[in-house]
Amino acid sequence: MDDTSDDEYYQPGEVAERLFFTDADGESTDPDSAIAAALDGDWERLEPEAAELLADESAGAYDRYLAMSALARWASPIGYAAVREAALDPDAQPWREMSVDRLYSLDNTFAMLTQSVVDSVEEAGQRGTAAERLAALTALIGIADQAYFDHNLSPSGLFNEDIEQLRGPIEAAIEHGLGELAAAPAEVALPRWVRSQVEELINALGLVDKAAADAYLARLAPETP
Amino acid sequence: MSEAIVKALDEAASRVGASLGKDAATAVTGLYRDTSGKLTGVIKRSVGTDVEHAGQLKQIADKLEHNATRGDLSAADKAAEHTALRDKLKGILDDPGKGTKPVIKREDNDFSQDHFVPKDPKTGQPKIDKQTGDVVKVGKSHMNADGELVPANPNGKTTITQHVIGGNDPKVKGSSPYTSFAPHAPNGGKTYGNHEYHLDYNKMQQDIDSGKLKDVELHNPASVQNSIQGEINGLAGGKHVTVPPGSLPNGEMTKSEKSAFAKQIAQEHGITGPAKNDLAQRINALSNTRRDNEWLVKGKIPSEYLTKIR
Repeated sequence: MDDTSDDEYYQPGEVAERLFFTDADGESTDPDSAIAAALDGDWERLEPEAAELLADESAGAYDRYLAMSALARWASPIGYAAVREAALDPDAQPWREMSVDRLYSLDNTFAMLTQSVVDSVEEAGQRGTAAERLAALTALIGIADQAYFDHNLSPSGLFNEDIEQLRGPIEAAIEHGLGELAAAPAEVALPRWVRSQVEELINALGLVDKAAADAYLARLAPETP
Repeated sequence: MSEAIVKALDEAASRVGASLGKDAATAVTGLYRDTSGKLTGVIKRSVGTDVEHAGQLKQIADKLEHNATRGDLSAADKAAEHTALRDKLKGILDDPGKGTKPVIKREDNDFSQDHFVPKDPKTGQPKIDKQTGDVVKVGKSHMNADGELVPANPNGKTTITQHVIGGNDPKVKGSSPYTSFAPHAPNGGKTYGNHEYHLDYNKMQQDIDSGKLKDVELHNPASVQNSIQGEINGLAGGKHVTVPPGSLPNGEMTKSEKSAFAKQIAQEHGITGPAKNDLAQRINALSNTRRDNEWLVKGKIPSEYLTKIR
């Protein structure tokens, strides 16, 4: 079992293969490159098909996840709405746990979605979907106690401008996390990580209001060994 | 193992010299050389006594290089900064370590699976791939029946940079021959995951050097970061790009700093289209791996180098 064959893992369906694993010249590519290449304008041609794939319940779960990631990165209101909906019930998402991070083998699907939403700031400005983008980001911040975000809800993951605009949701998530940690620290969904993620949200807040962040940090219980 | 750190320090010292002029360069590099003596051996001993030294030495190289390129400092200010950094360098090289065996660690909730099997939260059953009808499998590093720590694919072609970036492609992750490790802080440090293994990197490196251990590579933080740096330079047409430390307390760049820096470099070097995204990804990856002081091992790790902690 050691010499694992690549084809034992995820295989995209026909539409996902064409959208995310094939470039304009018909050569093989990867989803991140394909999604980025479309930012120069091809997204207009690809968006309807990606939206169809996202809505297709018969399609593979990760194919649909890639469609949502692409739509969010292209600042599509359809993509942002799908992110908001997914955050309503994170555990129920069919693509959950289909990607893991390199350091801890933890599900990082919501972490990567956050990157897509955050990185779409310019495109959202150009397309007039900035409000939808912030709503999607708000929804993600709201589940900081339920999903692993791999440092994406931190000063190194969030733009200062977004932190300014989302101060309310960020403080709400901090308060919620502090409450959970104070009540039953061992029973939070992701022991250790929730505390870290609350701390990182506090540090993010500190970029725009250090006094407020210091006050929250004082309430964050010391980490138990 | 120490070559990547020596390379980083050598390159930083040469840029210090270029920045401060010939006399200052001689003083700077001379003191640096006096401090280091037979540099490779000294650094090898330093990294061998304390796992944190590897990351710290690379950070000093990065800061030396950054200071040398700063336009907002006078020559006198730069010289003062470099003196402080050289003192710090000397402190690290003279530091005998914490007296405990230095190790790197790997944490995971389940090492036993040769792949990760996502479960349906409602039924508790493995998820099924609608395309193939098979159980969904996600490649990951794991322990095999022989007690070896095996990457997602020991024969995979995924590069160091691709491994660190991760990204949305499960094929790249499933093809990674690398396993990531973090420095283990003997006195505290955060712990994540239900299980933890420590790796004796000194013993592993000795056995790689002697030829006893084959088909395994050990990459310390400088080696990992140099790989990513090389790709950033490649995108800039082969010109060296100095990626500055950030303003965060741990030296990490904020998101806004990374974005502004990527745009600046893209503009300076005429990087457009998808390559602009590649550049931003690599700057982000470099910043992330600097934060984590990440080590990588390529290939299967035999059990004799591993200790189960929990």
